[in-house]
Amino acid sequence: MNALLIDKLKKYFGKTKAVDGISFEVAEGEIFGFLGPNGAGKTTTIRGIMDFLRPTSGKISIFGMDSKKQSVLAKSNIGYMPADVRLYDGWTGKSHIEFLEKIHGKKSIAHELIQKFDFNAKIKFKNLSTGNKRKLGLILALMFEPKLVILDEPTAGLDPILQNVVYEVLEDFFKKGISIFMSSHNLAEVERICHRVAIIRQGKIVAIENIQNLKNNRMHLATARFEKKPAKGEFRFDGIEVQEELPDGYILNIKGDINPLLNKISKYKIKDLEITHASLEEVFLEFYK
Amino acid sequence: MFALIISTIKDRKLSTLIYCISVLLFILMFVSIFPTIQSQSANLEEILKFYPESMMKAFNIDIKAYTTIGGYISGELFSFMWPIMFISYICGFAGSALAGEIEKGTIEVLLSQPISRAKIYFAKYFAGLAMILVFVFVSVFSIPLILKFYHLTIDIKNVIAIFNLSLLWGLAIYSLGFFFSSIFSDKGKVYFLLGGLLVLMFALNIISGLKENLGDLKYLSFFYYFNANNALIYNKVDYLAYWVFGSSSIFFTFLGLEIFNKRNITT
Repeated sequence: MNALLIDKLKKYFGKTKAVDGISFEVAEGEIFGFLGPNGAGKTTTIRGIMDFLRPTSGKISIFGMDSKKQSVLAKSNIGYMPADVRLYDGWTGKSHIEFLEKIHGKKSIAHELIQKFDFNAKIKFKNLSTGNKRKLGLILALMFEPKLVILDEPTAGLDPILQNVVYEVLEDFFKKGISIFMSSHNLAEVERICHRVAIIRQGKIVAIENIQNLKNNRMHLATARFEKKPAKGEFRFDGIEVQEELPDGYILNIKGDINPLLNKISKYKIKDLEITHASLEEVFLEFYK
Repeated sequence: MFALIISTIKDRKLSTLIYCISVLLFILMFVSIFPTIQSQSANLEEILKFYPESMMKAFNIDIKAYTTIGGYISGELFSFMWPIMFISYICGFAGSALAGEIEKGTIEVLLSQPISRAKIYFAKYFAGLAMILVFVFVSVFSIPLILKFYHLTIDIKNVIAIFNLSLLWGLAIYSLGFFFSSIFSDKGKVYFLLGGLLVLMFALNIISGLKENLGDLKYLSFFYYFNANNALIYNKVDYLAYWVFGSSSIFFTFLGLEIFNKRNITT
């Protein structure tokens, strides 16, 4: 059974197509990344999963339960942290924790998380720093050890040390078999902890890839300098893009097989040739275009 | 649901305390000057005889207002000051209950828990209702207690009558405010619309008394049915008041629930 199943989800706000027919699934025990530029539809998708927004059409299932019709049951399996953590200003962290424990009718592991994150639960929310607000948001999302954790930019605004603590906690949760769905702009974070990633752009999914495959199918960057510089048009073929023109050559972006390019440039007298792997960031940015 | 009711009440306990103390101080002030007013009642009756009847009717002025303690309390407290305080209190609560939570973004804390929207709605509603009950109880039942200090008495049946009327009137306004709170995503709009509508109702009630051909407009006003004079002087509450306030409360409460259940909530 999938932890999360999104099937042809659409959410329109009047004429604006915030999410336009996306489908993907998150397997049980998987850490799934959700990437996209600002305004791509990430938060709209997450709000649809959480039943804050009602889909225009399509289906969302959480462990086989309809997110709308069985919302209460589905949410008993979810821990959620929004991108912008907004809680009750006059309440302390402890008040928030106790409130949620009363709603859930059970005790939690908040105390352990408080120690792990080194969080002071006695301070009122309005007096917390941005980082500490996010710590509290994470504690509230994780305290009942939910089967599915949904995080919207979990480490935004956190210092690198705390980011590492968060990754360690998420990895601990993953070892317990908990599924994690997280949206992020932090590519290093996605590379570190996610198993698969979906990339959304203008309301549509443009790629769903295994992180390892993405690393394996990297783009290459070739800097070629020639004795006699060939015309730019010589390098217009599939998978090749002239990124920059040099006085005596070109910097070329290669997607996929590099052999066609090597065959091409070998016809010319080469002064210098350098081929490097494009970074994962450059790979993702290709999808963002 | 119970946890949410209690937490909501706790969050509003200070404002409820302030409103209750304020109304007690007003009652104390009015009661303390009643002996002076009563001693001048003959003069006041003479003055009121020259008031146009339409004006008396429009502003619900009764000759007995200054000659009996019930009428006096009705005229001084329940005709203007108390309704304003009560409406202000209700607006604040209704506006912040749902629209305020959406505006602050805290609604996501509630919506992300395994609790239905209907439970959230009714938890907030009942919390407000409990606070309204406290305010009305303190306002009304403090009257006979304060009167005792001044060796004055009022028929307890009249006090119960004004308690019932005030509670129902408040419930109708609160339900209307809660309905607006379920539609909007900021509390300012709730205050504006609810306040505006009540001002309009007040104006309709006055105009209907001044112009005979506009007499029927009064039926559109909650203020018409809130006849504190009849309750406190004559122990009378028009059954139409019960019907109008009761049915309005039920209608707006469930319409608000339906809207809150179906709407998109974006913070």
